[in-house]
Amino acid sequence: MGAAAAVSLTTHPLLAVLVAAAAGAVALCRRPAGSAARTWWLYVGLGATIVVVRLVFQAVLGVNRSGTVLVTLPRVPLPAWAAGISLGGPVTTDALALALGDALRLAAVVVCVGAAAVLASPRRALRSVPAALGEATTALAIAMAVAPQLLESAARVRRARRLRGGATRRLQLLRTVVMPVLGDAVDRSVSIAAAMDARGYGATHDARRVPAAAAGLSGVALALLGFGAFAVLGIPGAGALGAACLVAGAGCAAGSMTLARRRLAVTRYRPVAWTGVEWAITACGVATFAVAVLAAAGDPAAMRPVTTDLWPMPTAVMLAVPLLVAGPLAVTTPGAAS
Amino acid sequence: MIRFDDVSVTPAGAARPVLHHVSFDVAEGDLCLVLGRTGTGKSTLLAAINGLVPHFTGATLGGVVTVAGRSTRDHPPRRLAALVGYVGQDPLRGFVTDRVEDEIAYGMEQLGISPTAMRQRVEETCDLLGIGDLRHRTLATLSGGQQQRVAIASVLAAQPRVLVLDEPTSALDPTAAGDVLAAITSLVRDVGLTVVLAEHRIERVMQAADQIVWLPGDGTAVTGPGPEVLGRADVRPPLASLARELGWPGVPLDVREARRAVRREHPDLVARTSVAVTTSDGGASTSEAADGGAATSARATGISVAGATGAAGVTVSGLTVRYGATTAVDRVDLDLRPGQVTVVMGRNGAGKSSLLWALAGAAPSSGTLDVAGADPRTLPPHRARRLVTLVPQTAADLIYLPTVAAECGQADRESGATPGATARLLEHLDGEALDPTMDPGDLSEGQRLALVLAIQLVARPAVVLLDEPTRGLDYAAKARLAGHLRALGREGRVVAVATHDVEFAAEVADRAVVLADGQVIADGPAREVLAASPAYAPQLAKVFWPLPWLTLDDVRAGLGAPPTGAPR
Repeated sequence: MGAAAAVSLTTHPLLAVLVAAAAGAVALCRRPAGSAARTWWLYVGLGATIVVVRLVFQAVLGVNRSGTVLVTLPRVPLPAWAAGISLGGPVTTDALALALGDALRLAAVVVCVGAAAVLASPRRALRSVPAALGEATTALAIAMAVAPQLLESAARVRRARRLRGGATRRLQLLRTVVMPVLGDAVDRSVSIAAAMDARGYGATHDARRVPAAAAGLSGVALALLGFGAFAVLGIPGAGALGAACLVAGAGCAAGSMTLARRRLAVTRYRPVAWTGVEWAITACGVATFAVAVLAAAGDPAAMRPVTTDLWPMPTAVMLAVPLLVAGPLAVTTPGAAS
Repeated sequence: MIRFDDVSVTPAGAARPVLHHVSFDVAEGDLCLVLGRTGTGKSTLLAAINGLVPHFTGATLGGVVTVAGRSTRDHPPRRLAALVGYVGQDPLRGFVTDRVEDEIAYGMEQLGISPTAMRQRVEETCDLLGIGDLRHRTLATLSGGQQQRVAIASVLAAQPRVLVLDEPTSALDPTAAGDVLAAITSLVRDVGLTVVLAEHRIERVMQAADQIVWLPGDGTAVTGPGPEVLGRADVRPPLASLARELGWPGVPLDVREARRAVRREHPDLVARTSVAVTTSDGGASTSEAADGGAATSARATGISVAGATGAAGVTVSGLTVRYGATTAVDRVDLDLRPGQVTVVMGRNGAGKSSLLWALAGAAPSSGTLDVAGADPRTLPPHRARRLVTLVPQTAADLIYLPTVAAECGQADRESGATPGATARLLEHLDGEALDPTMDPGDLSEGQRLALVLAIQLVARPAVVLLDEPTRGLDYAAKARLAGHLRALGREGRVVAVATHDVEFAAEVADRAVVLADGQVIADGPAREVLAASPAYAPQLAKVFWPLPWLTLDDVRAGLGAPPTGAPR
C-alpha cells in the first residue's frame, strides 16, 4: 500500500515500471500456494489495458499538440458544440510521454493494489482488526462467505436454464437467473445467521459494560480523522494542521476501541502473531512512502518530468523506492504468507 | 436431559400447529432418533431443543422445553450454545468462516474460551473425528462427508452436552454416511453425549438408537424403543417392511438380527442357503447368479422388444469432461438402451453428475455423443430438451415464477405442449392436485421434484436423466418416484438416475453403472452389480445372502408369494 501511495506521487515512467515490477516479484514469489495466480494476472491485465487506452486516447483525442511530431493522423472535423476536442491530428512525442507517465502511474497503482490483494487474505486481514469492531467485521465476513457462493449459484442457475430451453428474450433470461440467485442468497444468509446464533455469537455481549464515554470518544475520533484527511489532501498549506488532526483522531479512535472492547468477552483462536517479520514488512511500506515524499519534496521536477525525453534519468533517491518495495522479499521466506 | 413438556409449536402465519401437545424425555447419554415423513415437523422439533424455534424463526411456542434444567423460553440459542450443539441440514450453508481450523474455533471464540484451552480443544476434536489432516484446508474444497464431520467437530469443540443433528447423511454416499454415523455413535458410547438425530434413511442408524420419536404428521409424537415404534411407524425402512411382510413380532434393527430372525422363522430358507453355500466354494454364487442373471436378462429382453418400436437409445464413446486440471469423466463408453432404467452410482465426486450433464449436452465435453440419432451439444436448447432432459440435483434452480400455475403455463409455452398439459402431468405425478396459487418455494421436497419433473417431461423427451432425485424424500415419496421411473422405462424411454441411495437403486434399476474417478468400474444388471458390492448392497441383499434377493418383491416371489401383510 505504501508502494501504491508512493507511485501516485510520480509520473516518472521508469520509476512506475520498476515499482510495479518489484511489487509483482513480491506477489509472485510469496503468494499463498497455488491460489491467487489468476487474480494477479487479472490485475496486470487491467494495468496494461489502462496504459493502452490512455495512449490511444492521447493519440486520437489529445489536446496537447506541441513538440516533435511523430505521425499525423487524418483530422476529423467535428461540429461546433464539440469545440476544444480535436479528433485526429498530429501525434507528438511530448504528449505521448506525458500520457505514458500518467497511465503508467495509474497502472502501477493498480498492480500494487493487486499485489496486496493477492498476498493478504481478506479474512486474515479481518482477524487482525480490533475486537471492538467485531460486529462490523462479522458482517463483512458473512458478506465474503456469501459472495463467492452467489457467483457459484449464478453459474449453476444459468447452467440449469439451458436444460429448460425456452427463454428467448434477454430481459426474461435475466429475470430467470436473478430470481433464483437472489432467493438463494437470502436463504444462505439466513442459514448462516441461524448457525451463528446457534453457536453462541454475541453470547458474551453485554451493553451495560460500555461507558457512555466510548461513544462520545469515537464521534470525536471520526470528526478529527475526517477533517485531518481533508486538510492534508485538500487545503494547500494546511498539511501540518491536518497531520496533527489525524494523529489526534487516531488516538481518540484507539481509546474508544479499548473502552468498547470490554463489552465483548470474545477470544481469538491463534491470533496473527505480529513478529519482527511483520514489522519489517510494514516498515518497508512506510519507508517506501516516506522516501517518495522526500524525493518529491527535494526535487519536484525530477518526480514529475515534463521533458521531451521518454526515459529521463531517475535520481538516486528515486531508485531506493522500488528497492524498498521489493524489501519483503529479503525478510520473508518462500511459502510464508506475508 | 431434554424434556418436552406439553409443547405446541405454531409457525408464524400458520393456522395449524406443527407440534401439538408433545411431551417426552430424552435421558442423558441416549441416542434419540426422530422419524417422520417430509413436513411432519422433524426440523421444528430439533430446532426447538436449542431455542432456534421460536427465538430465531419466530413461531409461537406453547409448553416448556428444558435442556439440563434450562428453559428455552428464557435462554436464546446463543446462551444455550455451550450446552447444545446444533448442526443444520446443509453443513456448507452453516459455515461461518472459510478454513477448517477457524470454523472449529469459531464457537469457542464466541464463548470467550481462553486461547490456550482453545488450541488444545481444537486438536482433541480433530483427533476425535479423524479430521486432523484436513485442518488447514478450505471448507469449500472438502467432500460432503468431510464437511459434515467438520460441522460436527465445530459444534463439539465448544463441549456441549447435547448434540442435535438434522439429517446429517442426506447428501452423502453410503461409505461417507457410514463414517459420519460411526463417528456419532462413538460419541454417544465413548463421550457420553446425548444425541438427537433426524434422518430419512433410518436403516443406517436405527440399530444404535436408544429411543425413537415418531411424528405421524398430525402434530402428535409417538415415543418408545426402536423395535416397537418402527413396527407402527409409516416411515418404513426395508427391515421394518420385511418384518411386517413376514409377520415378525418386532422389527430387527440391523442385518445381523434380521439374519437371526430369518433363521428362526424360516428354517426352509436356511436349508436352501446352506445347501447353496456348501455345494462348493464358488458354486453358490455361480448357481444363484446364473439364476438371477437369467431372470434379469429375460426381463431385459422383454423390455428391449417393447422398446424397439420406440426411439433409439444413447450411445457415447470416449466421453470426457474436464474442469481445469481435473478430469471429472474420463473416456467413458456407454450404451443406454430404451426401456431400461439405469442407476449411476459411485462415491461423492466420482463424476456421476458430470456424466449426466454431459449426456444432456449441457456441459462442455469431448468424445462422441449420440442421443436418439442427434448430438444435443450442437442443438439449440429448446430442441435439445425434446431429445434429452435432466432434472438437476438442485431441482429448484429450474423454478423461478411466483406460482405453480405460472410455472406450468410457462412450461407449456416453452415446450409447445397443449395448454394445461404440464398441470395434468403434475397431478398425475404428485398423486393429488397442488394448489395452483402456491409459491413453489413453499412446496415440500417431493412436491417440488414432481413439479420440476412435470416441467421437464412435458416436452416428451426420449431420454430422462435425474441427478440425486431422492434427497430429502421420505419412503413414500421415493416409492412413488420409483413407480414413475419404471413407468417411463416401460414407455420405451431411456432413464438414467445418479443416486447414493442403494435401497432406491435396488427398487428402480434394471442396470447399474458404478463410477470411480470418472471411469466406469462396473456395469451390468443391477441385481448382480448391487449384490456383489459391499458398499452398495441393499440391506435385504445382506439379510438373504447368498440368495439374490434385493427388494421386497424378490422376497415375496422367493417365498412363494404370501398375500401382503398376512401373518405366517
